[in-house]
Amino acid sequence: MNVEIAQYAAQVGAALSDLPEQARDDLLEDLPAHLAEVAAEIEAEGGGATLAERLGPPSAYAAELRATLGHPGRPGRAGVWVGRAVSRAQVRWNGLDRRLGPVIGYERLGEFLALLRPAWWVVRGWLVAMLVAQLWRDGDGLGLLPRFEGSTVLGMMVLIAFVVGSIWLGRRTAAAPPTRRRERVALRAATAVVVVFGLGLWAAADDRLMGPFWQDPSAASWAPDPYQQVNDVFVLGPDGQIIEGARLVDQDGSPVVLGYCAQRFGWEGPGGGGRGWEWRVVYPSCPDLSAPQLPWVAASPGPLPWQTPTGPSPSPSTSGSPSPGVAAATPSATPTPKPSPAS
Amino acid sequence: MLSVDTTQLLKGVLDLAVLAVLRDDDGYGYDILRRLRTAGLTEIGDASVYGTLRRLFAAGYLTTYVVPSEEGPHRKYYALNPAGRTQLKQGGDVWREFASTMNTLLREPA
Repeated sequence: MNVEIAQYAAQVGAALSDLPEQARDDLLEDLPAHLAEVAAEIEAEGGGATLAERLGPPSAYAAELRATLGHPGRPGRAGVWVGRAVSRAQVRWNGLDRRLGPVIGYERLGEFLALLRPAWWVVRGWLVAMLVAQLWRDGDGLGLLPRFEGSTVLGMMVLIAFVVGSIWLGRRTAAAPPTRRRERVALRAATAVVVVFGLGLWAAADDRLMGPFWQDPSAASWAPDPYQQVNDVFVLGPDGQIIEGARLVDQDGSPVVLGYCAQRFGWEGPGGGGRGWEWRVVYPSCPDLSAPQLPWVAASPGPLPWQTPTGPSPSPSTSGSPSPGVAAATPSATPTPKPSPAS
Repeated sequence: MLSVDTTQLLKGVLDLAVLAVLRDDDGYGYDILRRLRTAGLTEIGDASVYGTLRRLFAAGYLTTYVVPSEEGPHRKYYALNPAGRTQLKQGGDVWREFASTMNTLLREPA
């Protein structure tokens, strides 16, 4: 069949030898490939027929070709403008392609980008899974893994399914791009949506990671709690000694609940619902937490405001063991903390 | 003797017919021929379609790309580019006006 194709094409070419070379070359450039298509159709329909039987003699084919050589007219002005813009962009891209390629060790930049296509397929699958998860739960919060009904396992399964699907689609479209314009437009539109969503996701993630360092902590709902590390609170009097049974109250007279023991006890009020916690929150609140070492307060012991200045100040040696020191040095101060506005 | 047959009429509008069948779907040569024949242009010859495609491509109305095929040869697909779409639209306007003029002229008296 290949010999037949070559022969037929050569005979058609010979019959057109009087045409200007450029016109003839334009016309005949794809003839063998086209004849191969025709031959494949003949084959598909059961075979048997020759090209000449199907298409007529080469001379007649040549005559018909010659008849199509009329002037096609030039593209309209808008078409010309768009066409020129497209070809200018192509030329520019070609230049960049060749110039930037060697910088990263490739002949062409496009060669390297083509290698990245499978990576894009994976990212695309992940982004679509994220997008679906996002639509699913009406956009409360945004992680880096898709979650469905709060389930990471289900999310992982969906993620894997989408990534596999995206790879499958990528392989398919790479092997045979869709020839339907509608399919192509749909694919491009979907890609645009995914890319825009991806950029949004990326910006949101970046924002969140950068947030605590530059954002006003009071304005950000997700600013870290600076008292997260506080387990218990020790209230010190002006004399530098720990006040047992102290209470902390805020500007509204509500108890300040700090630390893990205070919270624990606070909710164990007699009312059961937390009404009784106001009087249970006294500091230090953890019964078994040892008092902190405070070498820096012992250096400047001062008298309590309600004590006479002549009262004995605690000796530096008591700073190491606060509890007995409190009892010995300021027996009256410890049981009577400064009255709080709440009482 | 006046002779009007489809082949004669087709000469003037073959470009437009080929552009029209490529409006929604790209196609390779034989596929385009089949579409034209299915649409009713049964007289159309292979060489006419092939030649027209080459000419429209050379004139800058079409782009091409090759699609590998599992069975048989790789196929060269033709697709409309922006210039081709503009041309299809303008040609369509001209044709409709021309056809309506001809219809008026040929209207048989009631």
